[in-house]
Amino acid sequence: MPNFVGESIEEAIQKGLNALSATKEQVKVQVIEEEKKGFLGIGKRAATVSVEFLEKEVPVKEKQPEKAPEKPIIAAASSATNEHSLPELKELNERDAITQLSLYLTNVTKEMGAPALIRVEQEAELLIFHLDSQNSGALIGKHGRILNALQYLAQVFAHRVAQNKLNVVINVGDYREKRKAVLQRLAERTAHQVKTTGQPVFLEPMPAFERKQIHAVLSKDPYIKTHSEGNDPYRYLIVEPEENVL
Amino acid sequence: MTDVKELVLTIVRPLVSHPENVKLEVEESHDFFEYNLTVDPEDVGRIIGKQGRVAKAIRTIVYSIRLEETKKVRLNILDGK
Repeated sequence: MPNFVGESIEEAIQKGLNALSATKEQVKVQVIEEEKKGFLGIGKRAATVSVEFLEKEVPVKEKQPEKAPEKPIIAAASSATNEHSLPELKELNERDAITQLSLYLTNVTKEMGAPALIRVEQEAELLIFHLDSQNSGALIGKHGRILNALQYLAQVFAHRVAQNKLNVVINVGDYREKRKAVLQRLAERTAHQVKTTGQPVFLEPMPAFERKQIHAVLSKDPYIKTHSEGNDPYRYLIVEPEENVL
Repeated sequence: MTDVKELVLTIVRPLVSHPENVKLEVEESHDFFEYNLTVDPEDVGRIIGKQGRVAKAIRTIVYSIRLEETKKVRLNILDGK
C-alpha cells in the first residue's frame, strides 16, 4: 500500500494523486499520521497518508499501517478462516483506534453513496473527524440527524476498539460551526421571548451536546434559568424566567 | 449504486464480537423490503444499545439512502427467539 508524506494532509494526498495520476474520486485515502507543527520546529512531523485505487478490494488486515503493532492483529486475522470475519480489534492505542475508526467511516460513507475523505483533528479531549464529500447533504440529513447517527456509531466503535475513552465528534464541512451559530441565535431569541412574556418556553427535542450548548449560552443570563425534561432522544429544554431576581 | 445489504453489514460487522455470525436476509412484503438482521446472541444488546440508541442510529442511516425502488426499506433486528 503506497504511503505519501507531505507538509500537510492535503499536500500528502495531492502527492499520492499525482503519483497514481488519479483523481480524488478514484482513490481511497487513509490518514496514517497527521502533521504536527511542533514548537520552534521541535517535534515537527510530516503528515502521512495512504492512497490507493478504489477498485482494488484489499482485505482489511492489509490496510493496517505497517507501524501498527502487528502481532495481536495479524494473529487474529490469520486464525480467522471465515472470509467475512474481521480481525478482532480491541484495546488499541489511540493512534491505531483513530486509524481503524477512519477506515470504518470511509467504508460506511462509501456504502452510503457519499464517499468521504477523512481528516482527523485532535483537540484536547476531542477527536474531530472532518468528512469531506461531494454529497455532503446525504451525510448531514435534516437537522443533522444522519450526522448525529454517524457520530453516535463512531463513538460506539471507538469505545469498542480503544483502550482509552475517546470522545468523537464528526463534522461535515462547517456544519457544526453553522449549527452552533443557529443554536446561539435560538438561545438568544428564546431568552428575549421569556423575558418579555414572563412565560416559560419549551424547545424542540435535541441531542445532549446541543442542549449543552444552549445551557451554556443561557447560563450567563441572570434573569432566566434553564433545565431539561423528558427522556432521550426526546429530551427537551425549558427556558423560564428566574423568579428571585428583582 | 448503493446496496442496502452491504451498507448494513458494513455498519454492523465492526461493532460486534462475532462478525462471522452476522446474517442479513431480505424478504419482500406487501409494503416493505424487510431486512432481517440476526447477530450472535452475545451481540444483540450491543447492536440495539442503551434504549435502542445504536439500533436507532443504524436505522437513521439505512433509511436515509435513496433507492430507485418504490417500496420502503425496513430493518428488523431479530433476537433469535
